[in-house]
Amino acid sequence: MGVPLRQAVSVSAYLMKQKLKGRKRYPLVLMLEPLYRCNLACAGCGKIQHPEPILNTYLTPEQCWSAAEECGAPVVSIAGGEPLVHPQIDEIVAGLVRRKKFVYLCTNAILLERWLPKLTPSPYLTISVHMDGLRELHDAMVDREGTFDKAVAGMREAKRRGFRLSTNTTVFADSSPEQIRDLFNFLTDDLKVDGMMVSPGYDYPKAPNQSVFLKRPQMIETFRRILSFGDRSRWRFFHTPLFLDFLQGKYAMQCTAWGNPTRNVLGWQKPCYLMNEGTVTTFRELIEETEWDRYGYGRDARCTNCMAHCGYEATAVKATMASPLEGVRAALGTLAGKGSA
Amino acid sequence: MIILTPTAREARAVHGARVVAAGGDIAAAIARVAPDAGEPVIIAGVCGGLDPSLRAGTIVLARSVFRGGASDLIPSAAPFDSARRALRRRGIDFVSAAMLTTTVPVPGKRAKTDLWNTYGAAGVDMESYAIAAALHERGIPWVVVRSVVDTAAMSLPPSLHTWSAEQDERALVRAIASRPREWAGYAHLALNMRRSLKTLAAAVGAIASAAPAIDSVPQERITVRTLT
Repeated sequence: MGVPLRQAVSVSAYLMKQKLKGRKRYPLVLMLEPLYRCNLACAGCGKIQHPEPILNTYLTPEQCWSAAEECGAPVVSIAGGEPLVHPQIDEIVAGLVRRKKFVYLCTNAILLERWLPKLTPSPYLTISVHMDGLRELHDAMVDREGTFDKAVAGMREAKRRGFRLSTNTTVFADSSPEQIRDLFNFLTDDLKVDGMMVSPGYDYPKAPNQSVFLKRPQMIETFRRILSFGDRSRWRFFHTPLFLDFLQGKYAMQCTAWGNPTRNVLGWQKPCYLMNEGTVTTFRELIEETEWDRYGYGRDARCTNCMAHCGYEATAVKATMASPLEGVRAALGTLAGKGSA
Repeated sequence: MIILTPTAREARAVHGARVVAAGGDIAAAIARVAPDAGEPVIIAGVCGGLDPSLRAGTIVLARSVFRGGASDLIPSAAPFDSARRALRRRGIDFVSAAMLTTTVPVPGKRAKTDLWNTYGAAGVDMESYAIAAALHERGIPWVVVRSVVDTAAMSLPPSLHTWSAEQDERALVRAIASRPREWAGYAHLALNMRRSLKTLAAAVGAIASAAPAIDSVPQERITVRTLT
């Protein structure tokens, strides 16, 4: 699957434990949003359209650690907003790493060089940089010139300091398969990132530009083209082979919305990371009181064009664990440091 | 509360009555079995799973019913909400999602994946749309409750690929008997069918017993009828 061996083993052990305990719904990745404030206003982002008082609210490090413990997921993805705008992000990360959580610090990397001296490289910490294309495309998608160069400089410095580095690419209608191929080649060959994540954009109703979103059939076609390039064999993805098959329409999956629960400044968000139907105060309430039968592809119109990894990667991980053949396929990918063929 | 099942096998499971298979003029049949426009109808039966997360025996409570080239049919809000609450209250494993009706069985995994990617329906059957449309035309409130038999990961035995609901079950038994190579597939299907009918009975029972919340129909008026 391309994720580090230590993480693969740890997550597998966690999943087996949940199965032995007979738990029906359990989290895999905590989506932690310690703030909504961002230093960008990307075309396809519907996360940050909140009133000022909410934008000025930040979770404390204690609240973040408490959320991680309450939820129990082995992986924590710190998102937002822009996490590096949070004045105590180094403390938050250090506390989560101390708790042996595999932390993905998601950032646009504008402030990365400033923060790197305060962060400590660890096998538990991966810096995950938002990267939607090469210079022209990326800067257009984040609606600010110079962002690509700034991010690349931060990524080079992170690699120099020994951090594990990954990228997160969102594919929109404006990005051609060739542009994405060129980006992946650059990230693999030039920046030598440890892994890449990729996902189609979710059509947030609040996103500033609604024309950037792909419909599901277009997504499948686009990913078939992206993943059929000859360069594909060199790319390292932090995904299960099944998730990549799913993106190409080769494998059917339903979303596992409870696999990636979201804790933000308002509480535990219902029902998933991308849709917001209010919050509850405890993780238990989220799991037990959400009417999960209502959500997912074919069940809710808002899920029609969603193929995002925050909903489907958990399904893919569970399916991989349930199938010996897929388990071997993923294990080979992990050992080879690559995703599926 | 009226419960309609398209086939005799389903009707037997829901109420234990022996009935004949569906077919013929559905509108005329509806006029006979559901003459009162005020009485809600449960269209109950089994289905094929398209949503890959559904196991055999998972209930699909149809949020909408559709078929190629026709407009979607939306169930009446009151019985639908009441049914959802009843299923939740009883802890029955279910999803509320779209249901696709086709004219022929969807036999293979690949075909199911394609339908899932194209339409996003949780399940597929061969009767719900026609029955719901007939009820809709008469202004009768309805809900569709289906229980998954063949999951998205399963392929049907070849002799079922051309099967239609109107066929005599004895003809099906003869077809199975003459094809030993398909017996393993049928055994799997039979196990799933058993589980599926069991949960269907539980689901329909739960929904029917919640009927007073729908329209204050007295319990003694709950009956099971089959389209003939």
